[in-house]
Amino acid sequence: MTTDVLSTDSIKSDSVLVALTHSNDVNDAVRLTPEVVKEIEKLEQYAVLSSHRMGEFRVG
Amino acid sequence: MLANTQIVPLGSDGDWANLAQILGASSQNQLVANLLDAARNKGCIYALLETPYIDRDFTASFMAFYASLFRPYKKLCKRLHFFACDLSQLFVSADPGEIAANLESSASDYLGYVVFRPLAHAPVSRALLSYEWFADDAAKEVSARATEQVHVLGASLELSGFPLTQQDTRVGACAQAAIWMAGRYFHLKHRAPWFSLSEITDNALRPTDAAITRSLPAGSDYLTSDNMVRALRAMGRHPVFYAPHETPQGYDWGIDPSAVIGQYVDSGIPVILGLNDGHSVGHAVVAVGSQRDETLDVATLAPESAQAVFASNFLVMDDQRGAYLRLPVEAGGSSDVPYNISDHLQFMIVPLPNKVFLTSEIAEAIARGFVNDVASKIGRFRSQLPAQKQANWPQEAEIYEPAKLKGLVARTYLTYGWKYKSRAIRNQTSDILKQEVIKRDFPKYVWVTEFSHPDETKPLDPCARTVRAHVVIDATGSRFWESTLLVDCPGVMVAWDFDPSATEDAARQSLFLVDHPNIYFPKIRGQHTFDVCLAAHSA
Repeated sequence: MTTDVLSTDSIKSDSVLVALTHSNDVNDAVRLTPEVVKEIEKLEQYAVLSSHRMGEFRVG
Repeated sequence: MLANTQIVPLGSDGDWANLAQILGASSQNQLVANLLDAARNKGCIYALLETPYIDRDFTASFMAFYASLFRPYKKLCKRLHFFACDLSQLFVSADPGEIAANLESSASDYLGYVVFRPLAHAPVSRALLSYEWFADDAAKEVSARATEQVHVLGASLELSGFPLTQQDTRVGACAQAAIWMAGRYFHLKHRAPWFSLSEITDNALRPTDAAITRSLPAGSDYLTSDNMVRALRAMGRHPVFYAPHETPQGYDWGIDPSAVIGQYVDSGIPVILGLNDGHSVGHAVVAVGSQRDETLDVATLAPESAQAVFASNFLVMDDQRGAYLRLPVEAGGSSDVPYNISDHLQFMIVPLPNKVFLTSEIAEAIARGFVNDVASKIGRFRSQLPAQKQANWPQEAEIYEPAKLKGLVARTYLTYGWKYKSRAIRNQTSDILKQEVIKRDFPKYVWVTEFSHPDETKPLDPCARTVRAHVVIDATGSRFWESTLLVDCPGVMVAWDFDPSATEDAARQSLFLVDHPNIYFPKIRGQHTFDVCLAAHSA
């Protein structure tokens, strides 16, 4: 028995058609588009705006 | 101390009238009347009444306030247990061990209990009512629920539900009651520290605002949402506060509040809702579940809908009205409370645990962004396959058609990283996904977004729903750096990894093009495996 089969590294699939490992800046990298980043920024902006004075709302 | 436990038959109108007499002035209270009505409607035919009962919660209130008053108050309470079975023979045996064993044999008919304070103006110290009995409609799901071992007569009875209390109007408001309910749930569910109502008020008033001292004792009339957040922080929670932005045109949430409530509640995190009905002081309730609308026409769904579109009501704990009550999303639906989300929601507070730095709506936006990016690159990925594999790749390719892609319903929830791993490797996901998941370490909390075709996620039975893609995001992440851990779509799986020994901090992504069917089960509440679904499918 080799060391390999004693670790999860030994678990390999023979059904992968193509396997690629690369950094996030290559063309094929799956990433968030600038539009999605803008959408997230907008959500964050709402979070800042909405806290204005709302903290004073009373419940009882 | 001698403590009497009395069998109370509740099979007739006369029996219920007798119980009201036993409870005295407390039975006139609206919440008590509602709880007794609910127990009766759910099939309660016998009760056990413990008198006296020493309640830790009321003892804390007694020490903090009532013991200091000139007028003498008693600290002894009563506890009433509801059963849907005949207990008339419980004390026939003189063998105490047999009595306890007989009571334990009635565990499946145990509906829950109510502890009564010796205060006519606020009689309910706390209650725990079985969600299985009190929210028994198949369309209802109590997502935030905890289990308590209840000890009575030497028997141990297991009870699952969400804790309920009633504001003691002399010293507190519904705000403290809502915080108590959330806090007690975390205590029962996750061993968080125990807090009494008086400790919650103390924490909410630290620091004390001038306006709140207008009521004496301070905090007895209302709390502001700032006070509530202070109390929750002091209780070890890391609350996130949502409120609309005031514009000249009115309130603008910038999000769909129902979608966000649905995401947190589906994560097993109760959401405190601040409701405004036009009075100077609003009301707080706790959302703990939802009711699905079976009749929803999926053809009418807006693009990029969240799972909450199927919720017609949220199930709330209302300290003035009762447990698991229906709070409609829109006006006009069947309702148990005089509010709805659309017209009355003023703010919501989500008592998150530590180490969650991404909110649910941002996690869902990131997840959808990645699935859309995979779709935009699917042609490029196809061109990298061997020529003979390109024609019919990937299976379920229709998901990448623009209309189908926009139509995918997202279900986003927070879960433990280990739980995600445990479920993923037992699901009907592809072998490659399971093999990559088992090799990886996940953070304490992850956001998971499951994507489904609308008609495939509509059924009431979760085992009848299917998922086509999912994304896993590090809950400690940020849009400023790579936070996505895994994307699984038909034909494409992407995983991101940091190399701890590398000098640069950027994650590398491993992209796998595979040829597996991508149809699997959604997360099933309370199940770590999918055996229940597999058994149902093979039956």
